[in-house]
Amino acid sequence: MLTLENITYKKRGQTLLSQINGEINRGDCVTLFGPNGAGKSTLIKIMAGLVKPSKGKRSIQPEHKNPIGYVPQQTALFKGLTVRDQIKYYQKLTKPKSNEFIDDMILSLGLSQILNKRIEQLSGGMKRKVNLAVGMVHQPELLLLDEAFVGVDLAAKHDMLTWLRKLNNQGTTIVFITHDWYVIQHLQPTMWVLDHGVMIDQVEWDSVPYLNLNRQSQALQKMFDVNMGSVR
Amino acid sequence: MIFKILLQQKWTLILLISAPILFIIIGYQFIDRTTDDIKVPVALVDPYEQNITEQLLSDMSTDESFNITHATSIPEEVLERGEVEAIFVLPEDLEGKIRAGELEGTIQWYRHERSVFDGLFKEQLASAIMTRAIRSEAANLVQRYQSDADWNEIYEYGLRYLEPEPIFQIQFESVQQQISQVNHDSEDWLLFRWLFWIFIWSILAFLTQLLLNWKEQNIFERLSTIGHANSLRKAWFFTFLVLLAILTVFTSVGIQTLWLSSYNWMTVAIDVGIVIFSLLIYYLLSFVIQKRETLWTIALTYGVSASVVFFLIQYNLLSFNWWFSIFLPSWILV
Repeated sequence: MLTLENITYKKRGQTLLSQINGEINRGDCVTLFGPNGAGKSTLIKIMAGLVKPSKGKRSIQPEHKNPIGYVPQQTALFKGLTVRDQIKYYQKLTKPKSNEFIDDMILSLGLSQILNKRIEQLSGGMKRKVNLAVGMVHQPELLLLDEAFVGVDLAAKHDMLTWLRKLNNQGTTIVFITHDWYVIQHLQPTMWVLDHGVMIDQVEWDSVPYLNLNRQSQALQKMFDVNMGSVR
Repeated sequence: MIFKILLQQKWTLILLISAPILFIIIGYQFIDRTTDDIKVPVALVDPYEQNITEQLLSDMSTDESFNITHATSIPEEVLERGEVEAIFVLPEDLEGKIRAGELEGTIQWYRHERSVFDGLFKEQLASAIMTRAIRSEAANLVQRYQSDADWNEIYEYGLRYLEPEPIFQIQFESVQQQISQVNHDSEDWLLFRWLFWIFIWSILAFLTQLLLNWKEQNIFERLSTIGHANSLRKAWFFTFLVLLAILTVFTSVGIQTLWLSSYNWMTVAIDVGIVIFSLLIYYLLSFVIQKRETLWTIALTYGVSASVVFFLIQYNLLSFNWWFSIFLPSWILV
């Protein structure tokens, strides 16, 4: 569904991504994992088509119009509008195939009670849920989540992850960035491990303990050590 | 949707709606004050609080060309500060002096070297006193030959035969109208159009912050992934285009009517054009600017530069060049 061929991205003379290759198929669940500055956000923006790579090729084979759902790191929501208005606005723009999907999403994410509340009146966790919901209004084939779970309490996180798992099982492709091992355990993705703009490896999440990280940065090693503790 | 968001920006909305009303009220006050200013301010001081002073004031009240301050004393600094053009001080027992015909040098007339129109008031005052003096003289004469005649009765009706005219009269009303007309045409009206532009320019800076907020929150990025990168920006532009155009038409027509008693569609079109170009400048800036500080710096620098150029041309300190058109307020002077 999405192919990256020798993706290199340079900004102000600095190489942020170097020779990234990868293929994501329909129904895959992939996480971009690595320390800060590894190039994860830049790579997900290249996948979304928001940033053009300096070299290499990104190609996507969609089945429908508007195949991408993008959930940015910040809560990209309109201040002053209610949750219902936010969802309606994106509905109007994208003209989704079924309203049933939206009703199901609202129910699964527990948004029914807050539909008439303005964004400023919501807690951080609720905002994150709405942020996720508006990114999926048009029922995208490929969902790109850039640290969408930051600052979300466990209950809200559970709702979000259960919904994402359900979507993934139904064939939606998910690519996400997170530092949260709980999220990784729940979604059980393929991990694209990045460090300093270089792809270290692509492994299944449960194969991580066997990764050879001897030549990688201390930051990446520490990330694995802290997250997996005694496993490694 | 832009309207819904705008409804949450209470102060911006209040300012937008109240702008035409505010401008018309300020304009009305300004015209009202201007009318007061062209009345000649004079002070009539009567330290003895005599009844005749009230009668004299009543005689002169039909002439609205003067703004008369009546007091028992008044400091001379008022005259130096230009708050009055002249001070006239009445003597003690003015009525007795009038009846006795002792009028020479009775009234003290203080004036400043800048005083111009106070002479007209002097004539009015002299006329009012002379009217009484002549009636008094008539009564004295009649009583001299008919000792049984009632002095007060003759005094009362003396003017039937002996009404004096002021020494010279001037069409003061027409002078006032002329001053008023020239003033409004050349300065006040243009000044108010400039002021309206400053208001719109500042409001637009506030409204452009909405675009910068959406940019900062990655809303444009999200919209871009669903193929609507510029739809929100365009909605912002066209919503405010319509809103500000209506606002400008109302304000322009309102102020023109107030100042010139009629309105010119060409002037309205120029005002609307200035506002649309201002909106366009901010719209284009929103693509390149990332930070609010940059937006405000540009808004302030352009606003001040454009205003300076406007005033330099207005006061003939700079001759109009075609390239001054990049400063939108200079269009007002076309």
